[in-house]
Amino acid sequence: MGAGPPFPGSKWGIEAFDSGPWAWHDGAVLARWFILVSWMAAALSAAGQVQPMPDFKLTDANSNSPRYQQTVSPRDYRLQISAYYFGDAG
Amino acid sequence: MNAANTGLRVEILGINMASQAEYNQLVVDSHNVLPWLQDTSEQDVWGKWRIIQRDVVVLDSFNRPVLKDNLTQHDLGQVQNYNALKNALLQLAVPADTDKDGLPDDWEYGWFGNLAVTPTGDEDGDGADNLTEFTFSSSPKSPASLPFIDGYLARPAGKPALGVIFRRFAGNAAQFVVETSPDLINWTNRTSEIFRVGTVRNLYDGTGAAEVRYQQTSTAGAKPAGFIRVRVVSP
Repeated sequence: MGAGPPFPGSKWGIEAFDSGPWAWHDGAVLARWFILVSWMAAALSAAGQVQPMPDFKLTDANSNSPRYQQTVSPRDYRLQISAYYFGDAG
Repeated sequence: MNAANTGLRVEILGINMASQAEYNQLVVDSHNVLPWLQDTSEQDVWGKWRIIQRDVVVLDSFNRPVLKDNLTQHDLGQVQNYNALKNALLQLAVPADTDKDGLPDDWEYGWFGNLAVTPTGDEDGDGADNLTEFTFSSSPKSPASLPFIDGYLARPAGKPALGVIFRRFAGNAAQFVVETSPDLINWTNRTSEIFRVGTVRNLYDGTGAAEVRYQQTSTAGAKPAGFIRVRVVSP
């Protein structure tokens, strides 16, 4: 991935979150995230009902993924939390 | 994230820029098992979602945006950024239960549009109450949709052993204990007697459902009779 792995220690996998030596210690950063989330919630509420993101159907290109060559949509992940990283393979 | 005991399962996906399809092989290696989706000019997810490179967008149970950040601005190589994103995801994965009835708010809103339903209610009259429908990921509005639990007979090391496969809500909003007994009196979940086969397999069907399989060990299966039960306990 040209832009580098977003989640260090595991390419761009998140399992490193649970195995790394990290310990939460930076209240300022937590506050930043809290403000960001709160701001988004407030902005979206002010605009009326919060709308789902536009749907899509894309093919999984990772041959090691359990969903390889399947069509993947955000709808598949309802009633779960889904995080999308937008990278540039080149 | 599963090891962190999240209530709602957290799924992470990558989306490649439409013009970069030829470089996908650079991303694929044996350590990376997460979906890597290829955007296209027709779908134009980057455009419709107003994305810039290295954005992260997190969606809630109804695919509504709840968090957006950019990893160039907040590089995860910095421990504070890494921990901030981790904690934000873990926070979002805790299912809200405003009325404290054991049914997550999103599940109640998703199926009924309100929080008025009760765990013991059975709106579709199929004999499975709402709490059971939630934990086993069946529809509380269709009598044709019942919790799916099925048995099978395996032969590890040539000896018969009972197995069970069932559908359940992904994540840890509900806890499951699978036990075996030779006599319906003494039950155990010791791994020397019964074990999980493989991982909890997400079904990706939009209901939050996953499928899991447990099987008696050959030692347990060698006994003249055997039984398996699935218990749901509070998280």
